[in-house]
This record gives sequence, C-alpha cells and structure tokens, in this order.
Amino acid sequence: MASLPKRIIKETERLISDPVPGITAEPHDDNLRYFNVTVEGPTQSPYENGIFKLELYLPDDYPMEAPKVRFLTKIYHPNIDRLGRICLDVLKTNWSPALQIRTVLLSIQALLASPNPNDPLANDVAEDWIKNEEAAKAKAREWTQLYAKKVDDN
Amino acid sequence: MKIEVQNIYPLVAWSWDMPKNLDDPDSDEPDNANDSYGIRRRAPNKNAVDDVCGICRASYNGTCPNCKFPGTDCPLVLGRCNHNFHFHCIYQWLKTLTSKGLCPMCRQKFRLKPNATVNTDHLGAFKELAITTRARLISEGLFDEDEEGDDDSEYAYDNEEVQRDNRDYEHIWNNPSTEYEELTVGDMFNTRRYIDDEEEEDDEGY
Amino acid sequence: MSNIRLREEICCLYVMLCYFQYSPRSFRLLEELEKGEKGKGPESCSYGLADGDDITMTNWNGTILGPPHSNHENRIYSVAITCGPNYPDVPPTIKFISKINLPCVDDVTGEVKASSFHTLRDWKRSFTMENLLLDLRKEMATPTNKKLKQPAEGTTF
Repeated sequence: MASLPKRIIKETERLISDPVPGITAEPHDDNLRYFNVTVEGPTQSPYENGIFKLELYLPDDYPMEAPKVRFLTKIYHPNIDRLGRICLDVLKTNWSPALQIRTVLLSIQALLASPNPNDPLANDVAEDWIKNEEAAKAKAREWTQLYAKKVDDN
Repeated sequence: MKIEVQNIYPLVAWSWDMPKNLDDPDSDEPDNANDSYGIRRRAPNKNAVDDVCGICRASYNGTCPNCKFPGTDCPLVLGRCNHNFHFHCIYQWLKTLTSKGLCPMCRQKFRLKPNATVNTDHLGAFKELAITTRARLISEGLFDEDEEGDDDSEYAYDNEEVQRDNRDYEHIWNNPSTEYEELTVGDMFNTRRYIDDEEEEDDEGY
Repeated sequence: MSNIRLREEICCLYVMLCYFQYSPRSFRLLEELEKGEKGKGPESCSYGLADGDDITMTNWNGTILGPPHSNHENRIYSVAITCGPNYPDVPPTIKFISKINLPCVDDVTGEVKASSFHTLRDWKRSFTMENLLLDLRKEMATPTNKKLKQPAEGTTF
C-alpha cells in the first residue's frame, strides 16, 4: 500500500493549472499515476501541425525511477520505434529525480525537433535518415498528415 | 484590574539553521546580537524557509514522503555543491544504480559538505552506501576496478576525506580575513539540540 | 497535546485513503516484451509479439521446448497467446499451434482449457506469459502426462 506522494499531486496540479504550451497531460480518473498526454509537433520540424498522443506512467519508485512514456500515435522518427518506445537518455541512464513530468515531456518535444539518427531505436528509420535526410523528413511529414492530424482539421 | 492566568500555551516555530553557502560568507545574513533577554537570535535563513528538497519537492523543514514528523527524525543533509536534501530522499536516490553517485540537481558527485554537524551524523550511512554501491557496480560490470584508486578521492562519504577537508576548513577558520566563525554549523547543532529537547517535552506530556 | 493527536488522526485518515496502483496494461506488456526480446528468460521457452507494428500488443507467439525424459523431449511446440484489453487482470488465452496430446488442451482447437489448467484457473495479476509457458511445460512433464502418446511431430491444429 502506498499513497500518492505529494510530489505527484503537486506536479499534476501544476500541469493542469499552468500547462506547458503545446503539451497536455491529464491523469486517468482510476489511476492517478497514469496520464494521457498530447504533444504538438514542433514548428519547422517534419512533425509540425501534428498532435501526438502518448501515455505516461509514474512507477512506484518515481521519482527515484524515470516515468515510463510511449507514443500511441504512429510516428516516423529514428529514436521512436514501431511500438512507440522512445530512446531518450533522460528516460533511461540519465534520469534524475530533479526532473519532472513536464521536463520529460519537453525533452520529448525537443527530440521531435532534433532527431538523433546516430543513437537509433528504430534502425530502419535511422538508416533512411542518414542515407537521405530530405526523403526521410518528407516521409515523417507524410506520416504526420496521415496519423497525427489535429482533430479540428477532420 | 486583576488578571488570572489560567493557561499558557507555548508556541514554538523552527527551521533548519542553515548557512546559505559555507564557501561564500557574504551570502549569509549577519548574525543579530543577543536581544534584551540574552537569547541569541538569528533571522531565519530564507533558504531554509522557502526552499524545497529537489527530490520530493517538500520544504526542507517538512518531511520526506515517508516520514510523519519533521525535525531530527527526518533530517536534512547539505551537499558540497550547495544542494540540500532530506537525508532519506538523497539516500534512496544514491542507492539506485542510475544515480551513479551524482547529485540530482547538478550531476556532480554528491559529496557531503564538510564541517556541517548535521552531516557528520550521517557519514557512516553514506560511507556504507558508497561501499555497497561500488560492490554492486563491480559485480554488474559497470565499474572498472582499476579506477577504484582514483575514485576513492571522488567518494565524499569517505570519512578520511571529510576529515582532510575539515583540516582545510580549520585553516580558513584560523585565517582572520574570513569570518567563518559566524557561520559555524555549530549553530545548527544548537538548533538540533533545541529540537531534541522540545520533542522530549512533547513526549512527556503525551 | 490534543493537536498532536489530531494530527496523528489526520495522518491515519490519509493512510486509510491510500490505494495501490498497478502498472497499466501497456507498460506491463512492454516489460514482458523487453524481457522476451533480450532473452533474459529461461531457455526452455520464448515469446514475442506476433505483429511488431501492433501497438495494442494483443497477439503473441510462444514456443515451448518439450521437457526431457518425456514423450515431448526434443520437440518444439508453437503456441499463440492473446492478451485481451483487460490483461493482466484477466488471464490471456493460449492455443497450441503444434499438435499435442495433453488433458488440459482441447484436442480439436488446441486451446488450453482454463478450467483444467491451474495457472489460468487461479490467475493472479502478477503472473506473466513466461509463467504460463513454464507451467505448461511442467504440465507436460507430470508423471501421467509425460507418457501420453503424442501425435506425429510437425502436425498442427
């Protein structure tokens, strides 16, 4: 048995009262450690105008352990695999309890703005990216149109 | 007019008496002289009142998430990098392999600030932690044993090293151009004693 | 001192309001997947996603290496596992692809019958697909089951 730590309550309240521009995070009613997240694709990136859905879970050991995050929207990105898993140092080896949900989500948004094909998770995408960056970016834009279109556009 | 005192309810407020920055004596507010009652007063350090533990985000004067009552049962430790945490919070973090012994805020090796009485109480715990963590890292192949010699100096929880640092500080103390006397963590020690006494009283009345 | 008591009562109340929250289905399945992918599990069984693009992670393939000193020795059995939307609160369904003669396996469909297989019948949230495969392997090795006559190797349901 463990209560919801104050830190999580504080973080959640702030995420709702003072949201990060372009990012939303709302806890599930029945599990306050489990969040529905949306991240807007950064401007001037192939993901511009896309809204990406993610899920985020704060494990029991949070903040000693990093939040678990994955994309639910299909995305063409060298550091995000087909199941939406994200290769990002702060989610793994470089986690620090000084980081928070909002800083993690900002890092993910920054990862969309600057993909890192030299540290890939999705190998095939990374290869495409290195071989022909323009073509890869075009495909990323295409996928954004296909899978991450804003709801009000539909 | 006659006043009959029926009850007196003493009210005590406290905060960790913490020099803002031991390395920078100017950053601390000047000590006030004894007041008319002969009680030595010190303006509460703004740091101690406003700041929160970088791990659990609760006030320094509050408790870590697992403790109920603030004070000596849930003490604070001061890092040499001037990042301070609830002892329980930083201990739990340094126990993880991800931490690599680093301060969560600045990612330097977390080292206890020398000469802070509040820290000496926990040296043992940190030293033990350093030894077990190192053993774990070696057994997981994440730590090069050859580096061990170098790393000895890196682990601040080493008693010897802190003692060496203490000698450095003594040197500073003996140098009249610095005003470290004003900032001795002995002040903090007094605060701690004071809290201890309060708690004992509480216990008796309970 | 009454306010201290009150404070303690409030704390108790707070503790009573506590609840235990489980890792959601997707992160639990990702954990299992990672374990399966990295080959951290035992050698006698393996499992992985049937479709690497399926973000719902519903359909899985598994293999069980027949236990030694039994009629299953040196055989590799393929199974299909389905983790529904309420996994792991609800057990997955598991079906043999390779033909096998086992009391808890339906001899027409290859489905493992939950009612006659204890791991499915007494399913707990903490059980994993790995537990399931290992327990099925144990089932093949019980004194009565290990001597059962088996269909020709390589046949499927």
